[in-house]
Amino acid sequence: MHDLIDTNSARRANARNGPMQHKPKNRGSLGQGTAEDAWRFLAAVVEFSDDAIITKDLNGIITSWNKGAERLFGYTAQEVIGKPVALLIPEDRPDEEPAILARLRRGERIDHYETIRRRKDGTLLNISLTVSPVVGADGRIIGASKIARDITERKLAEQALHASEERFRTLADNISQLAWTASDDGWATWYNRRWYDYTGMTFETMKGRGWESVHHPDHVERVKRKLEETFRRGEAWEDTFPLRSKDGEYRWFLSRAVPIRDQEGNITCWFGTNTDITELREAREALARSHDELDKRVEQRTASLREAIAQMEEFSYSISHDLRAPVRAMKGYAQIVLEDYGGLLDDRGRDFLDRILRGSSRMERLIHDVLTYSRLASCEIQLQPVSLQKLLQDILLEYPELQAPRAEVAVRAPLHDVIAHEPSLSQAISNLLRNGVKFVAPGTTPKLQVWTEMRGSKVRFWVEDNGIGIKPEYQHRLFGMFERVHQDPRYDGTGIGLAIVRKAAEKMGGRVGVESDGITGSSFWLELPAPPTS
Amino acid sequence: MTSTNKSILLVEDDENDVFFMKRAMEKAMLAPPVHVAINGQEAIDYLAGTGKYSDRASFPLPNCIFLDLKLPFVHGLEVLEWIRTQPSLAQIDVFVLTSSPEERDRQRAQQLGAKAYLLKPPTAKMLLEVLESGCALTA
Repeated sequence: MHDLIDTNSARRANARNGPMQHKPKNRGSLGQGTAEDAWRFLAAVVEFSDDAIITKDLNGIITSWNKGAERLFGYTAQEVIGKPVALLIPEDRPDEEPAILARLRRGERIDHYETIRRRKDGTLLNISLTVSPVVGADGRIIGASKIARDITERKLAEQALHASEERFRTLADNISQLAWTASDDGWATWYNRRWYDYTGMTFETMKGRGWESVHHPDHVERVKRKLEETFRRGEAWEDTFPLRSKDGEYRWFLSRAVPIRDQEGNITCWFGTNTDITELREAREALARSHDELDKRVEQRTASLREAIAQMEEFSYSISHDLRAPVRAMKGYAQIVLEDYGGLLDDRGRDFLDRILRGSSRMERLIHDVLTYSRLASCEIQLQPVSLQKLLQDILLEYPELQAPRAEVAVRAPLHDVIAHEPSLSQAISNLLRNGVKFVAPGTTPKLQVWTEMRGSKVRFWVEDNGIGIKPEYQHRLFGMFERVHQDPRYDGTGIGLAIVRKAAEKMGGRVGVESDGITGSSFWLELPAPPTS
Repeated sequence: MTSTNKSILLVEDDENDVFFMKRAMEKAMLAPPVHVAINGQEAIDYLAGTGKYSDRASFPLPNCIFLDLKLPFVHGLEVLEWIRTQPSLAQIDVFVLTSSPEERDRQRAQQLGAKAYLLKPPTAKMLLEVLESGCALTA
């Protein structure tokens, strides 16, 4: 073996003399002093380097072993020098050493070769090798020098990173949204699997600005504008737009992206997602359509209803006119016959004409009452506070049969206000009062008492008469249509008056009733809500 | 019996009501000529003097009008509306004579300038009352 760098002898020298110290003959650099000093210096450099520096001959026998190697592999120099370097190589890599040596003989350097070696204690470690041929004075390769670096930590970090990336990838590929990353200028750098599943594209076609091709032509311009603008401002981005699926159909996506910043706050990339909201949109649209449909239907129904009501009003209005005319004619002619030819008739004849006249009058009253009832039933009413006091005064003035000397009406003032529909209330009260004065024993002056009573939030309006009363067993029929609970012909009623009172009460949200012992008169009541107390 | 060369236009489609009106006038001792228009359009034609009604000798402008409301073709209130637009007819009193006690009809008639709102059937008493206040048919 050519003697060149005999680090081993230097080591042995160290062992004898203590730690080698560099003692330049002159102060300063390597260039000065003896050749021996220079070599010693270099030897020291190698010896004390932190990296593991190992030399071997062309047969793979270890010829030198520095402190770094001792630390890294656990063997002392004494234990390994003279032994084959294969000692360090795990059994599953039998071809590595021969391959390295072959390359060395060819004069190649091996740079940052990552591999696994075994320590003295059996544990494996990841190392990065740089192997250089050692050239003798005659230019021939005599061995190899290896520098081994422990890359275990780096490897672990790499693995952890890889595992982390795997986890991320799995996560990203399995969320239901499409996801992607892009650079600051809107160039896509990664897509999750969902994106490819949906678009049917590959990274090749989608990278960079490739995403523009799956946007709908009507929308792509506005999306690009907003994206570029938002990215420029560094704000979170949100937009809704259609994307083309691999089948060529467009679905709507709600898309968001957030900037990822480094420690200085600079944006390193953007992370975005797209969520399919097609069904949501469709549901919303369907809902809106249903609403419109419903609105339309309600409008139609209301219109039909209004029309029906108007028709009914029209009907009552004209029917009463059409029914009245012939009745009026009948009455008129009977009257004329009686006036002009009555003298030619006997009592019976004149009586017959009277009956015709009475019948016609009754007919007129019936038509009038039915018209009143139907109008009341079909009208739309609005409820407001009404002064009963004032209303009563008006009614008393309107009907002579309620005034002296024909009747006495005593009003116990003050009468409480009510919430009602004035025309309907007027009709109801008129009917009650006029009934009250009608049904009295012959020869009696009708006397009415009128007052109001508070009952909680309601007002009860009372009309008490001194009339013939209503037998208790008939009271439940009293307010029905065409019901007459006496047969005395002296009392002429259409049987509709009280039905009108009840209908009016119903429409105003109130009630009616009667109290009578059937002998000494009756007390009718009408109950309505009181105005809220102020 | 008082007679003058004043006349009355009765706008009425029901022949019975025409009969009753004429009888009431008799009973009231009034006998001015009564011209009858049997529907709203005829009433307007008469008052406007169109067609045969241009012969004012035969069809003179009336001093007062008794106007039914429920008429064929043109409703009584529409006739009244039309009359209001004719300055030449401003002097004529219009009495609405109807079977309809509808408050809305009464109010509308009043708005349109009717002198009175009367309910059928007309009686001698009724006629004397209204005609005294205007029209001056009685001497």
